[in-house]
Amino acid sequence: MLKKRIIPCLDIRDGRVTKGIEFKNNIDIGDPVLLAEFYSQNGADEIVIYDITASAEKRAPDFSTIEKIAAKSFVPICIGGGIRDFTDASHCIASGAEKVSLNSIAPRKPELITEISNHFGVQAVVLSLDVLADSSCPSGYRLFINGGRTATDWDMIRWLEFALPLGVGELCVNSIDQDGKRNGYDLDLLELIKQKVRVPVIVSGGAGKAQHLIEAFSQGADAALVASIVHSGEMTLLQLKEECVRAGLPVRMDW
Amino acid sequence: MTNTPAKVGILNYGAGNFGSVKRAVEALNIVPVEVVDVETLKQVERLVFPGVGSAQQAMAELKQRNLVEPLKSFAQSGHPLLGICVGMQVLGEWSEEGNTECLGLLPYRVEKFRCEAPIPHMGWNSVAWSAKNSACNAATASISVAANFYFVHSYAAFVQSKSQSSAHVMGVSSYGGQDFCAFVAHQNIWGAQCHVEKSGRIGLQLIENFLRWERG
Repeated sequence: MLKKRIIPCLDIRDGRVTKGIEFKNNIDIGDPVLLAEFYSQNGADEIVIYDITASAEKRAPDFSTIEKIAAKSFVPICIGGGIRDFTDASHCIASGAEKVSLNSIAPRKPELITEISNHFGVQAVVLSLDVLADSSCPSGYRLFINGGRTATDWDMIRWLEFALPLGVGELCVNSIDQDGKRNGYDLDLLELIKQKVRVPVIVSGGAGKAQHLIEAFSQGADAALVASIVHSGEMTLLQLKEECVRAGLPVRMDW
Repeated sequence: MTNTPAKVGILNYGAGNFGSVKRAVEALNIVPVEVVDVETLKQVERLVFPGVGSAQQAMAELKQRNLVEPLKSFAQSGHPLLGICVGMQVLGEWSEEGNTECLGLLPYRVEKFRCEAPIPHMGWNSVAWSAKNSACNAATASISVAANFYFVHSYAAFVQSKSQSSAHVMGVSSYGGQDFCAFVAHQNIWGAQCHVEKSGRIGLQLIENFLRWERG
């Protein structure tokens, strides 16, 4: 049986892992290579690395860090932040990533989705979206870019209807309202998206306890990103997974 | 380790996971030879055959490098060979992907998933093992029966049922109600549909089992 995935998310700024609240006020967590290795050996089903300042600084992701991580972490790796074109995506994959996550670039250059998936397969393309509740949008959510700083004209569902057929293998949905607050994932948002899409959905933003993951998995999430809850040491991946097992959810317990 | 493996090669024909497989082999403290043509193939006694993408593209790349017949000879001479993902698929007879004739080293045909579930089958999945021969036993040494492996694929070598499968089928997984070969082994020729190079410590263990396997 296919397992629900728990994916630690490492936000990298100036070569260090950081974590913010509502995408701001970041605090230092540690060395990305050591943290990725630690998580990969302790139950991470995948590792996501966001170079959170690459886009704003108009530079590519830090490929040398990706290479160092891939040499120590033998689980799938997804890279986001700073991917501007096909060359950047190819470099990420050549450096040891399996997937690239496209966020701010996707509404600006949607053809990049097709270019990458045609070459590497749809499973290599994760479409990541930062959304904020907005009653003026038909779906109730608006798409944001630039690390949640810039509103777009896209209604979230309109955006998905446009972008998914271009060659998206997976969707990662970040709720800006919930990020770092540890009050739980936005389940209304998840339900809305699961009704509309067939690709696997990763929920992101808001995990504060195991119950939040259990709720999201039970409502159809295929994977969940975790950051604060594990970075703080409050809960280990093993503890989160043990709770999922108790709730009867299929998760990978051997590593 | 007492037995140092014979010269290990990794086939590099442009497949996307060559680097990941190389890093996995290096993590086992083995320095692999990059096999790119007939000459470099002659330098090795054991070969890992990675693969990402399509069977059609993989066969085209092998033909372009004049590697089709040399690879068959390599396998038929008894050298251990491990195909991974598309590398395993092309060890079979044929793939539906581009109606592609494959290497024909193992007796299976590869077809597309026909199910309601999203394609590709992607993520961690368990395997039902059946130790049918000495290669199967060697492949699964030190690996728990409950172990999960990381899969990413849209095509597979399907089996009719988990219990009634051919002698080369050593591990079967299920997705979308369809059962398929997760692992195959016949004498010196092994195949893994999953990405063992990205399946954590357990995947590395399987690669190590292959690299250290001596034919009895």
